[in-house]
Amino acid sequence: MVGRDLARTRGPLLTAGFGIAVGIAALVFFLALGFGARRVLLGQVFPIDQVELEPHKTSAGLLSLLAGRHEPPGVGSEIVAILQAQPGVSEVYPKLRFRFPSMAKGGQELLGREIGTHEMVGDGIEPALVAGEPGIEGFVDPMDHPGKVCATDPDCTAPRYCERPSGQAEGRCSDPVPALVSRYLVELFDHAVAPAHGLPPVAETMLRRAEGVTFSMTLGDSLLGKAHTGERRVVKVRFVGVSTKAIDVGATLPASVVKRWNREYAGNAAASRYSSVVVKLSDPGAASHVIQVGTEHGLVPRDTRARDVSVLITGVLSLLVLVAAVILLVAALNIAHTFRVLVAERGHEIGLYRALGATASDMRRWLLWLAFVVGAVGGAVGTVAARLAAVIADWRAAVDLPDFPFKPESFFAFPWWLWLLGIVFACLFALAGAAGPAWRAARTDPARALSRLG
Amino acid sequence: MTPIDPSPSAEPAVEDRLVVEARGLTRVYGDGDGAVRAVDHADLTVRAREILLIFGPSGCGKSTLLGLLGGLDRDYAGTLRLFGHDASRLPDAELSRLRGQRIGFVFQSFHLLGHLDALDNVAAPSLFCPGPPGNLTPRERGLAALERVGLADRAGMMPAELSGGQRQRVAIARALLNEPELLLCDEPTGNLDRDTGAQIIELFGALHAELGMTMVVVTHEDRLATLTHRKLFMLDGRVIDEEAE
Repeated sequence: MVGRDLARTRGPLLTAGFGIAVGIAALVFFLALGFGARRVLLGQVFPIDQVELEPHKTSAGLLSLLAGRHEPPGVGSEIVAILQAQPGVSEVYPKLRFRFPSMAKGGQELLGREIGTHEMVGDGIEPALVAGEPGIEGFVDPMDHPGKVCATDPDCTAPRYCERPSGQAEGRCSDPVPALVSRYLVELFDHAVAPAHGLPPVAETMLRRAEGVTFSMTLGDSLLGKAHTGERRVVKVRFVGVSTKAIDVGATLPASVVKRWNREYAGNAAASRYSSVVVKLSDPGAASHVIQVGTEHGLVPRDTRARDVSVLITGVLSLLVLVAAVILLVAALNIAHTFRVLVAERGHEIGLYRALGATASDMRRWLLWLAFVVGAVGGAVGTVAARLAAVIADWRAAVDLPDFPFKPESFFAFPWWLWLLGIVFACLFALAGAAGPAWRAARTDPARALSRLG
Repeated sequence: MTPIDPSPSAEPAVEDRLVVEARGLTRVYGDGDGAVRAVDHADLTVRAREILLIFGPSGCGKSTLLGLLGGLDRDYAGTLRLFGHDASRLPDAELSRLRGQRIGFVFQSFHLLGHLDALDNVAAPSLFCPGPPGNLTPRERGLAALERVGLADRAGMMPAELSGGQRQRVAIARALLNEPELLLCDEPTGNLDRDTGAQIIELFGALHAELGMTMVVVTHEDRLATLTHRKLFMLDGRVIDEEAE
């Protein structure tokens, strides 16, 4: 019956379905664009599935000069345990910042000449924090499997070096220490440093080549001065991948390595108190609660950009969704009008069906099924149209837009449930539009409807 | 409310069973000074297998009364019992089921669905009500009904391709699809020429003889009186006289 009616009324129903399809296409397109932007900005630029908390910074001013060395505040293991116990928290990973001066140089294999920094910033993270990230292998403390006893680097087989802590006569041969860099640093290098120095960009295609490149890192000495304790020495560091968990500017090494070196150059306190903690969230909604708990223990979020970007994206997305909702509302009104006309035109038919044994709810169901089919087809067409529009938009963006930091391959994200959402929303709006006419059809007085034509 | 059993209940003598029983049946359209009593305190009974003819001039309330008897119009005063059930107490679903399975309608203007061929028109009631028990599909039953009215060879034709008499035969076949116990006919020959009307009257006679169904026929066609067991006369909404053969 519904199939026959679809064929009979295809003109008006196509018009009604077209309205729904346009509304759903707009809704799905905008949502996919929003999710895509969120994926790039919050997934790669400012990850929001985690919160990094660090001790509140206080300036001791001149007093610090009188007191000698400034001891930065740290995060104790008891606070790590408290954060770990909070709802919505999956893991807590402490981070250790380098507490000693260092420098680095290298890159001959990749760039054709040595580059370096006279002031190296470094971070230590738990290897578990990046476990499972694609393209990252071997991010473990090389001293988990130390080599033979050595006194100098020539005692070890290249590319190994002799990891001999300050003041000790002997050390152990060690693989180069694995290091991660951030995507942000790669982008910064490609778009600022490389052009300024005539170096090739380390684009996506070269990243794989870059992995395995070894740098020399000097510990205990930098442009700004030497470490108060420990000896100046050179270690080898090998680049093993790009990670969102890496420090924005600098190298990120396994936490146990940094802990050892901090102890060597800055004492036990620098090795036992963490510089920050990364709290991974199983529920992104728990972020504000975690920040609140951190605040109670003297910690502040290290970076509020993610939150700001999230608010911005949500705001823009809400506006776009509002536009789509208006289109859908108009489509629903169009459906209501179409079905109202349908019911008015078919009054005698409804009366006849009632005479033949149809119940009032049969009539209501008949119209609602029609609306459901119109909605489902309109929703499917609209969702597919949105996907096609996204493909075209991505293609034009790839061709027309200049390269820029974090330029994604696709500006859109189409999770499976978005397809479902498009169709479900279309059905809901179509049903909402047809509800009034369907109710009216159910209330049609069959005797009067039949006598009108009889 | 306990659901009714739409199947005929076993009773001692079929002819004695009351199919329709109306007491003080009143239908008023509008209210206040403009109110029109289309049916005014009508009392009538219809027994199983009898043919009741309702006569009266145009606008006397015959069709309105038929709509009430068929349960199409529920906005009435008085009491109406259909197959022993108080129609006013039946919920819409039960009354619809009763209508679909035990009552057939034939209308003056046929009320065929223009987008369906003759066979699909005849099978239309099966969209809403299961037919009598048996192995036949609705279309097979529809074909049998068309055969009964002599139109099996027109099964695939659209209503627009049929003559007036053929359309009415299709409508009668549709009314017969579920083998109803009560056939309500509203001016069945009203839109037909004299010869075609005579054929339809003849068909009614044959169907009654063959199937023994109860029939209530609203008409002002004298020739139908040849079929009739009882005649009932209406004027201004009231039943003013009754004749029995």
